[in-house]
Amino acid sequence: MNNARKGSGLLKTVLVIDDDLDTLAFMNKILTNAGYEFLQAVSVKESQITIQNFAPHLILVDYKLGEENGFEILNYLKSVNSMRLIPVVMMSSTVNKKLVLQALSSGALEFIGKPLKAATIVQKVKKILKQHELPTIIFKESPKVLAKCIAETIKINEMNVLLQSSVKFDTKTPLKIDSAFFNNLGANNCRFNTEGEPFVANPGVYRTKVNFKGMNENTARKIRNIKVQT
Amino acid sequence: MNDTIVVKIDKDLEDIIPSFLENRRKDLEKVKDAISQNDFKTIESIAHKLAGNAGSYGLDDLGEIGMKLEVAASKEEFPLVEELFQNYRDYMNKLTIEFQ
Repeated sequence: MNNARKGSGLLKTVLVIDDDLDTLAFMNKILTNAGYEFLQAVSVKESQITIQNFAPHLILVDYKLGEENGFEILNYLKSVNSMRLIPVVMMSSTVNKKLVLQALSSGALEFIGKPLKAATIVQKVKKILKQHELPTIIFKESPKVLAKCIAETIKINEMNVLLQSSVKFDTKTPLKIDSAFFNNLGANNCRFNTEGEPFVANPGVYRTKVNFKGMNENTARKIRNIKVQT
Repeated sequence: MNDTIVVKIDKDLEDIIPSFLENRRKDLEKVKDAISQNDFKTIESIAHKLAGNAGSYGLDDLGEIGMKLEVAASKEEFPLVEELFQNYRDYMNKLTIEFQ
């Protein structure tokens, strides 16, 4: 289906899964007019690909998808850890208590009966997206990230360097230093670890002693020979 | 008996209404063929979609016909299916849309 060139990241994306093309055309019209990025799929397989590619903010899925059904989408989302927080609304023109309860107990956030009315849909989408805004995700196994900060070199010897920055580092924190000054010294291959409590130079400005490990003699000599211009 | 059924529809839907109506006319032909072959499954499937989409486009009465046709087809009630098909065809023939 026509989901190409979607996913700009500027708009909230809503995926509508339905095997009825006229329902998709209607939903495209009202959701696009309401300021959402509209994605569509007509089958379970196509839905899985779209979910993987776009990780939509909200999914509206029809109960009956030809020979397939919307529960297959709910089960798929539960099986993919990164997608299980996507809110899902199941919809159908077949509405009975048993089906509604089954949908809700299978992971659907809400169940809405067809025919879908424009005002109801927009109101519901708006409400759900507001409730599910900026979820906080706590990882069991924390993914590693590289956070960069700007620092100034206050003083240096062949054992350590004193860096000043707005970040208050813990002691014995491994650092990566990306600096033309350090590269010229040949120190870019050293390992760096903070040592001791940072010294508060000014409110919000900290000086941290960083030890060198693995420094070769050539770099040590260059440091000793640094001439500071006065 | 009125010769026209006038339905007022939101102007926002003006550009997608023609293809919706065209698809309903194609469905009418499919239902007609399915009736001639006692293919209730196809009728039920078409009627199910009609029950779900017509009301969205503002054609609530057509959606009602779809809903009744779906139930009648699921029960294989041939005379009722034929009667509802006639209702469906009459509705489409008499329909006049005004955008507002």
